[in-house]
Amino acid sequence: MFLPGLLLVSLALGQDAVPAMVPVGPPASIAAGATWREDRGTSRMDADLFRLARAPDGGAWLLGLEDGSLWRSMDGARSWSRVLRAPSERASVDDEEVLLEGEVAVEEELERTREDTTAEEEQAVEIEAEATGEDVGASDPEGTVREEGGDATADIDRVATDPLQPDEDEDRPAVVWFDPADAQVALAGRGDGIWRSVDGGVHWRRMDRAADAWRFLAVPSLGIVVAGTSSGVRVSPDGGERWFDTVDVTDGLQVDALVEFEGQVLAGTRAGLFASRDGLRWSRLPLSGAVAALLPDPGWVGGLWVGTPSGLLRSDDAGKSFYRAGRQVLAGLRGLVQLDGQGHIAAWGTDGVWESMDGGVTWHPVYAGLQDPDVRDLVVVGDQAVAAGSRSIWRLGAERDATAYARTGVVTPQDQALLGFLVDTSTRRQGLDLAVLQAGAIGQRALLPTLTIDAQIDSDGGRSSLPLSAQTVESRDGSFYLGTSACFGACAALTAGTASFDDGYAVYRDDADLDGLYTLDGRLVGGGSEAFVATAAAQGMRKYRQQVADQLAGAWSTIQRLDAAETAPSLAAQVSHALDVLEAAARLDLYTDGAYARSRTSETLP
Amino acid sequence: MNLAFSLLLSPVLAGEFSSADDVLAQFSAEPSIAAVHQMALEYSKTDPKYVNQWLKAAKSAAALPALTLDYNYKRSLGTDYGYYTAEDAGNDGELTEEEANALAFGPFATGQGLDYYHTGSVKASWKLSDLIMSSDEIRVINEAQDVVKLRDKVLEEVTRLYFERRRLQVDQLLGSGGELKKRVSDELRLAELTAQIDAYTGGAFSRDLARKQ
Repeated sequence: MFLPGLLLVSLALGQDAVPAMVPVGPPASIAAGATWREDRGTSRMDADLFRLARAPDGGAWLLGLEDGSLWRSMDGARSWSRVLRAPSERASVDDEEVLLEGEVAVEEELERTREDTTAEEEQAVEIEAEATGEDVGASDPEGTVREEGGDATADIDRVATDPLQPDEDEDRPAVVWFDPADAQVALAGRGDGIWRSVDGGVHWRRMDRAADAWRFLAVPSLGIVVAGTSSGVRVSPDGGERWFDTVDVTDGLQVDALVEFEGQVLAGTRAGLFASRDGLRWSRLPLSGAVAALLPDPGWVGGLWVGTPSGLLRSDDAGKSFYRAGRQVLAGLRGLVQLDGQGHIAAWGTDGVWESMDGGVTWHPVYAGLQDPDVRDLVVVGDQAVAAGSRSIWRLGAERDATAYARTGVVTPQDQALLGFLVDTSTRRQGLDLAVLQAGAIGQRALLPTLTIDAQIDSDGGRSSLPLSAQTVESRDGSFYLGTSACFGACAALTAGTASFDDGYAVYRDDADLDGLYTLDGRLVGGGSEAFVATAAAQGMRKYRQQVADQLAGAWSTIQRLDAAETAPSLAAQVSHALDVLEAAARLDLYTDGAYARSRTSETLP
Repeated sequence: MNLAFSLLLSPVLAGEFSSADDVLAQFSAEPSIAAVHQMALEYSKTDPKYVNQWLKAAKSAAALPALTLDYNYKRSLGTDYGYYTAEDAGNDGELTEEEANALAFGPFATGQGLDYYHTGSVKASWKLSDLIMSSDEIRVINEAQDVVKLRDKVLEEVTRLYFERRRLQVDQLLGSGGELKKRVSDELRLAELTAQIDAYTGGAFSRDLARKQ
């Protein structure tokens, strides 16, 4: 297995593989006996949820929606007040309303806090921040940055005096972020620019109209904040007040992940991974595919996990080389987060929340109660996870069945590994395996032509008689043609009659219809019926995979509970107990094509 | 007949068994749940092997070209005719109109022709994109999703029926017998469960029971 090997190598190299901040010993699964519960505080929101952020002092939470609006909560992400309208909505709103909106939100929150705060909520809110930082300006001696947009420091007063015209990309979702060093400073990226708040997300000022942002990262060692935008990286030397565009290789690339790692800043883009030591000059690392998430491994110097559409990759040498971390695809992965314990990580995306306790080698879903597998964002506070689903907030609560884990206290890592294996097996069955749809392959279809080889033989002859001159002429001709043609696109109009074989080849191209393009796992797979069917199939698969995981969980929990139960006194009860175990095992087998039975006859997992 | 025979059997005392395994061993001659699952898969044609065959066929079909054979035969006959008109005869003005009309004649054949054409063509066409993933393959994957849902549903139901039947058997085995009415009721329920399992297995369950007993 990966982890023991990692530890051995660590000892051999004499590395400090286990820093003090990482607890040593087998971690406890966040899934053990816990279930997701839905918070309906988002029910009055008009758009889907997109990003969730928690202030470092635990006081405020921010939520960015698909329509670009921002919402704030002061009671542990339970109830929400809107603090900034969507860009499209702002165009028709009275300016003064915009200014007053945040103050109204504060009043609502204070009122709610006075009335509703419970002891449990206070505990959730009062988790102390750990990070500290400093505000240091950045210099630019080599002129590698440029400031764009004369109104980069435009504030809300400026917005109020200008006609509020909707921006081109106004419907883009909003991302939200808190400065880890200052709970009062928050940033938001939307289609109409980068916004900043200095009062914990109550009031917002637009600081940069020139670019949107998908990710933010504070780099205290450099005194900068980095923003990953849809067209490269931007840098702020003053905590987000002014923004500068870096002139570098990331220009034009959407940045989906940012992380500080081994004295560098890493930027994961749709076209590879880039690194910079100063935030200004970037160089490409040997990973050219799309990067959706990045997570440094605190338990291994130079260890890094990279989430990609085709699965999780791992680097043990600070990004010099990468290899596949596990065999599971983790379809639609959006993010990774470190949990307590070495190699204990979680991933989330369109297929729900998954947990790995062995450094990403095997994964099992954190499924119980989660009815919306399309998880947009995940925030983990201690042992509590809060997920933003597409329509509501989900909270992973410790709702343990006291008898289920009476024997061992918790589900052991071995049990979790077996459950992970079973879930993996059940969701890889034909008809549920998302990997077979191969989003890349479907996209590549559009690049390949229809190849036609055409052979034609002609033979003709005739006789002509001229009675007046008593002449008869006969003729006989023959010909052979061989031609090829390659037709790109729909090719519906191509017929043999239109092909010219004079030159021996012909190339046709029908312009693709750009309407009705589809994406699968975030990748464009083209248009037409194939792409539609593929995306519909993927959607159906995701939903049913979640149901299968739930069914497996039920059967698994039954076996765990029965194993932990006291021995029944009567023979009838013992037989009933045995039949219950056999039935639960049979149900595990039916969802795993017999893998559960096979695993029980083998000492190691297949 | 079977019912009457069963009712004559008296239940076994619980003290005759030392453990739950002893009790369940009484049914070792009956098909296991795994075997019943396999019967249901075969009967419902939802075994994964069928989907695998579809996928394999969809993938290999892309390697075969769309073949078009074309043959055309054309035969044409033609005769050209000519006329010698009064204008042709008297165009120099030396003949009278009457003389010219007398010289005119026709029509007469000036040429006869026979033409024939044979055209044959063979056209082979490959959609190279289907070698990566064909629309048939995508549709099979989509269909496989329905198949796996059906399979899970069938096997869930079969599992439930199988264990309900087994619990009833255990109850009959370990129970004190009770009134005749209850015993008849239990036997009828057992027959009903057996029939329900047969419905999902095409009768294979009963056939297997009969063969082993």
